[in-house]
Amino acid sequence: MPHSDGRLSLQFEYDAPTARTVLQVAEQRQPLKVVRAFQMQGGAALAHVHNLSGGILAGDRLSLDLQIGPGAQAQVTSTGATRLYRSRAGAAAAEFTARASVRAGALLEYLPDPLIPFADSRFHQDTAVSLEDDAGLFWWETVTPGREAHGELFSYDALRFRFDLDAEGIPIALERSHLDPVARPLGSPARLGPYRYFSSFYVCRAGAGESTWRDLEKQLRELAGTLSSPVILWGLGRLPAHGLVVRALSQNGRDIPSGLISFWRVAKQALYGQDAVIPRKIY
Amino acid sequence: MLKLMQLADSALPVGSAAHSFGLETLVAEELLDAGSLPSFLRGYLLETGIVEAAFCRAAHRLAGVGWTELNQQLSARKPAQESRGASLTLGRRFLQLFLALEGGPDPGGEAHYATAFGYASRLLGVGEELATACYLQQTVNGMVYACQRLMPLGQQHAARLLWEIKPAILSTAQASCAADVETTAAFTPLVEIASMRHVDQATRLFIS
Repeated sequence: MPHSDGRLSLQFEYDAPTARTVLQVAEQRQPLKVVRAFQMQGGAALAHVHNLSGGILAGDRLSLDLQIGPGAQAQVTSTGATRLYRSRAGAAAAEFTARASVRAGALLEYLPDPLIPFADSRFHQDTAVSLEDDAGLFWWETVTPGREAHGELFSYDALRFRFDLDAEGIPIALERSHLDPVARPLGSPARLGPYRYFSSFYVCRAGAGESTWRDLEKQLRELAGTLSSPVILWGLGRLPAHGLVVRALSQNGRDIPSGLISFWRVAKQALYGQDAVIPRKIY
Repeated sequence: MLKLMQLADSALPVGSAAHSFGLETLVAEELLDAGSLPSFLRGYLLETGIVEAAFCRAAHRLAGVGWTELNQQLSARKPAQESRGASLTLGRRFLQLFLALEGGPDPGGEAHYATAFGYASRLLGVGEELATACYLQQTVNGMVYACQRLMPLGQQHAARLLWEIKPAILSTAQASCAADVETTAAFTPLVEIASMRHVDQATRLFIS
């Protein structure tokens, strides 16, 4: 089966005369595509990343490159959940590489819909984000156990995630995860325990002061306590510098999106004095 | 060898008995009990265990070169502040105690427990394989001792558990020989969230 070698390279630049962020598409190669950018309140630009093939197929090698210029504010989202299709025996794993560079004083909000790994899918995701001085980041990702309605629960072959986040040249978050449901049962209390969905939300602003983080941590910790229940756990971690990470584990997929938005609203207001504007699309 | 045994002993006065690394929350929220503890420990060794072992080995091999970067990397691998802080506190205390007892150059700056153990073992002339296995054993010992205070886990049961998990400790130590700190993976979201939520527990026996 032929595979896709899709690539999308987006540059967001701050246009001082109009006080707006403008999108320049440096490169787009199917199946990845951006149709246009939408202006948001406050001058930010919103871009929906379309995958015209409807999902990620075995052997696909997709890459996304986001350059957020000094002072620009960009919001990037997907048009729907990312389906990871079945891999035939012996087929190469699908690969998705994301690179994001957030320049001084810029802000990137990367808010995709969840990943849905179909039975027998194999997928490798490699992400690297770098933040310059006063650069901000709201970045979430959610992984589902599969197509539960089809009776697929952790039926995928293997998922591998690599996530590197550095601020001002120092690593502040490094994740390396290999999910192999057969060799390493995910129901172990060392991994997911009784939960099926997991999500991470990074909240960063390089150079923000200690009191800012202390106050925000207090607010988000209270929110985590309020939103947690027997079916969903929220936790809050302070990164070594410049940010926080919110983690969620849930027995269902319903409560995670609304919870992420709640954390985002509080954090955006605390770090930028702005309302979090939910991406314009059908949920 | 005798010095290494002392360094890996739970009685070493660095404060390791005060930390549960999230276990206290898991037990309080009924996500871990004596029945599930053996499989938990085996899973933990396959995930966090091999990462810590890789860093222990790296510190042994590097002998202080690139020390700051190595410890920054391990800090960035630990999203839960309590567990990261516990590892750093124990690491610095361990290193200070070791250097006071044995002497040798202080690599300076932050030190995680795993990297401090690897570094000290190198100075003692202990091979990295043995050093890594001892580090993992003392980690598992510490977790089991914490569980004895958190759940109905008798001494005989704990001793048998520690006895029977030794092959898993050795295989993790051996597997870490080919593991490098850049790529070795761990997937322990429940343990991480438990550590993040520990500060909110109404009653706490442990610092982490």
